[in-house]
Amino acid sequence: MALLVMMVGLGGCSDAPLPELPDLKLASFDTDVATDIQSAEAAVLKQPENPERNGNLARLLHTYGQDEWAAACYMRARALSEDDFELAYLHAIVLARLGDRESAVNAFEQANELRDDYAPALLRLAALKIELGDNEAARALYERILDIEPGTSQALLGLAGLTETVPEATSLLEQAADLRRPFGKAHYALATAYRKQGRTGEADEQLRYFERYKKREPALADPVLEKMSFLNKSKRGQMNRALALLGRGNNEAAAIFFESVLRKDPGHVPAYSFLIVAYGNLGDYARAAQRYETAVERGDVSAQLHVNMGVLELTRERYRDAAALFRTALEVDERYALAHVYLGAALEAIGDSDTALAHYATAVALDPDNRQAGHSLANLKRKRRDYAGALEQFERIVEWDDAQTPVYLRDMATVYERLDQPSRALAALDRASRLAVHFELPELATALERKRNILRTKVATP
Amino acid sequence: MSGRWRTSQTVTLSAFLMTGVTACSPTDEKSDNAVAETVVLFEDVAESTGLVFTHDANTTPEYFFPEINGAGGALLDYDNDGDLDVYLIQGGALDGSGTKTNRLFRNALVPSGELRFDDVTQGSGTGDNGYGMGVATGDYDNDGDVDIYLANFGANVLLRNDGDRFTDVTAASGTGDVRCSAGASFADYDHDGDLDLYVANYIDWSKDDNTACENTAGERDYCAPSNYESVSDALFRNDGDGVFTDVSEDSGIASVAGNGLGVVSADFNGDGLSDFYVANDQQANHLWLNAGEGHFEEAGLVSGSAYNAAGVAEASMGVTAGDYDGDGDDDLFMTHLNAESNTLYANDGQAFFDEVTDSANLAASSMRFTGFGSAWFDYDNDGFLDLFVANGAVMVLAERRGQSAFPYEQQNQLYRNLGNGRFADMSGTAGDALALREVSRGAAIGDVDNDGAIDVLVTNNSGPVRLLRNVIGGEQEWLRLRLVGKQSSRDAQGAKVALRFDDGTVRWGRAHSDGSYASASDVRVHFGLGLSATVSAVMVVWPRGGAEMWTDVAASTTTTLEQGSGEMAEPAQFNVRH
Repeated sequence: MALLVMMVGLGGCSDAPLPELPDLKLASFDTDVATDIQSAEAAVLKQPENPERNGNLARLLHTYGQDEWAAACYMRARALSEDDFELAYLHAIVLARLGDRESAVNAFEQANELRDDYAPALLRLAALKIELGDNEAARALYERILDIEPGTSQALLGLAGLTETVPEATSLLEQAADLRRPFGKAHYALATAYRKQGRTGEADEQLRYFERYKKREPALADPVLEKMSFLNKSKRGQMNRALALLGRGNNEAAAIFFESVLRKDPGHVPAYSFLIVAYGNLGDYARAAQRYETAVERGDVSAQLHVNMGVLELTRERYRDAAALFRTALEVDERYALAHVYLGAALEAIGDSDTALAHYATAVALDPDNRQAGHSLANLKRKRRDYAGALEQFERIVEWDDAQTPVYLRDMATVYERLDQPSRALAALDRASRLAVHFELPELATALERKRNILRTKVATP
Repeated sequence: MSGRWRTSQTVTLSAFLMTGVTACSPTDEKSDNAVAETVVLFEDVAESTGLVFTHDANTTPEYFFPEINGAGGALLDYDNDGDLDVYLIQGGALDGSGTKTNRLFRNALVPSGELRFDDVTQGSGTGDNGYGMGVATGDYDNDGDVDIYLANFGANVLLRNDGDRFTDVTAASGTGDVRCSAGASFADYDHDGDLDLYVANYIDWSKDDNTACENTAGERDYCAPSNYESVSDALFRNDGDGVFTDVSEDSGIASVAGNGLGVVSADFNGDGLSDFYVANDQQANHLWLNAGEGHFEEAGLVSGSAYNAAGVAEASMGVTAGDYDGDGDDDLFMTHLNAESNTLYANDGQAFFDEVTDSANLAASSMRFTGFGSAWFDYDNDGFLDLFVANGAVMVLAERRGQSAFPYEQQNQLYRNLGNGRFADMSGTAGDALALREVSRGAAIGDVDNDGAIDVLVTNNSGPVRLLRNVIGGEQEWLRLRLVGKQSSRDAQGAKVALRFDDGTVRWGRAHSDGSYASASDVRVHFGLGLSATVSAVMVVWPRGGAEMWTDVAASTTTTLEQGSGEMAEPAQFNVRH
């Protein structure tokens, strides 16, 4: 580690000899990965003082998790291109991962000198400053982030941790724990702050939100780092990339990466599964079906694979085919709640409401947190005029405030209407309306407002 | 009595710490960074004393998951001759078909006067050849000798100590949990006078279901536990007749699954009942609060001990409970994967925990290491609980390629409690024994040479056992108590012990052999007393049968306190809750 510190010092000195390339031992690497790195290394060896080539090798090593080699190569690249913000930033990230905090701080500070409005760099630097005990510097960095991007939850959380008084910290955390942008860590910190003030009920509520959102964090765009994922040609890297693209709705690109995974590993069941989703979203049923059939022929199946194909059939209104696929999924995993939910939906569409109800109930029993299952069960009970049963389910699923809750409340209100309880219906719609505004769902908010107006009249009329 | 003792060993220590006011006497002027010169604190005497044993993880190109987890060891006086013997867990063949077995080493110190270990496995009934992970010790049958429970990959094993040999009573006792286990703890949770058994189960893994995991470079490597299903732990109630009843379901313990590794029992909320704390790998840790009537409630999240202060579930491996801040309750220290710090949770006495790792100076120094075994112990007998941490990575590939930021073989760590809420990392200056770089897993503590200084047994994955003999602790006064229960279980595990000093200050300890990782320590209660402290009274709060007090306990010796031989006492006499 001392060597790295010394090398950081060399980075800014143009007369210093260029740090040596690390001895890359790639024999055990995935072939594509090794080839990729070897090409980049060969390019550097051809032009050892080319900053772009050195930077490319560093980035590749970085994306493949070879942090020590990456750090050495970033050092070379930075020595050749002192004004490159991205190199300094990425170098700092690698140094921090290696636990060399002093050098990482140095590199982050140099990056910030080159570009002082890149919030992810400021955020990472602030965290390191805290680890090194320089809370004042961290505070200034968080404040700077909030100047650049007001309301950045991560900065509010960091600032709260540096605040002297619990009420002041609580106020910051209440801003950070905004349900529109679920942030598990903020809910946890807010729960701790409430507990310290004896506000047990509020603490418990925040812990419930933490349990629900513990892995969620508001997106903070980091295009410099995101570009790195394009470089990763390993199976795992391609899969992650594909899933990220699918999550963003870029189905075409996602399909390309899933196909790439299958070229590396023709037995990769999740890749088949998600390809069905991607091709389905693209309206390319034939390719989706072909991928499904290939997986089945190979015997590389999972419950999810059958469910994804079933959902595609469901969207094509081929309910009996869909039901058959969901049943096949349940043969693979009878405890797969989502398969029960979708099978219920297919059966409901066919008109077999009794069996549908049983599958919805099974899904709820298997996964009580699955609100989709609860919603389906509640709605079917409502349709079957089992209003008490429907309300029981609705009450359970409207416990949480999120973007789905106003829809559940709207449907719940119709049950109260059927029960001739307009005041309760109105109360549900009032809450639904507030949440629709909060979660920025304007069309739903408008529809709810219309419904509320009608109900208000009913309530006002004896 | 030293000024340091008088000013710092009070039950109100935490109040001083919170306001930043620390006691001031010359000996109190301690700094985290003060120690620079090497002072040999421990020396490895394993080989020279005949303790020769090499763990065989039986590593394969298949990267079978259990290969990286084992194994532990125990310090126990199995033959009741007054010195600590050693029991070591072996790996070998995963299906238990191998010839390598666990080993029992008898300490010849008493009566020979020489610290020497003889392998007495043959004929002792202790040579189990299951793929071993961990070990727990306790006198479950109240016959006066310590029994052994083996946490294996595959069926666990209960070995009853019959005095001259051990008998495998797994089947008859009903304790042969077949899931992959690493940690276990004996505690009398139902206060019926015998030790019950908690088994921390890790994951649902079998050779046939081994997943081929790859790292970011596409290389085959060991999987993370998240690739496998979690399993629930097990609680076995001792029915007193040699049979245990599996009460995992009825007690609530089976209601939650986890990747359990370390487990420790203590009364965390001061209600007089034994609770359990389980360190879960990459998942929320579990705090099982004993609600009485045989029921437990999982309170990890509400207590603040399930996650670190940032709300992140860490890769918890080992856990140890002890009153490091002298406020009368048991605090928790937990070891984790590299790039995560180890974690210190300070208990407020009601099982609400604050993570204080950073302010205790225990975070930064642990980031490069993967910690497993850990133990609170007062290595220098100055009256403050210090920490030992056994380190060793679980991923080998980066180092093989010449990248060594996170080495596979790592040095273990020793932290000195400075008495002001902070710790100093002594590892770099404690001598060669602490400079060894190995893949350590278990750590057990106990005074193997009866010199009053606590030694450390360290077990290594695919490596030799180490016995770190403490060469400096004997310079200060100490006091050791062997508790003998009557209404309580015979070895009195879970009993709380309070020392009251002349100046009215009080310190607490507890009888236990559990904690750490996959290991079992000496059950006797050891206190360091500093140079000239005077103990005016000792109180024992028995798990069953109230509290008693003794006023004639001598320093720097081991004293046996038998239940019923002291004066009846009230914990209030010691001015603290129990």
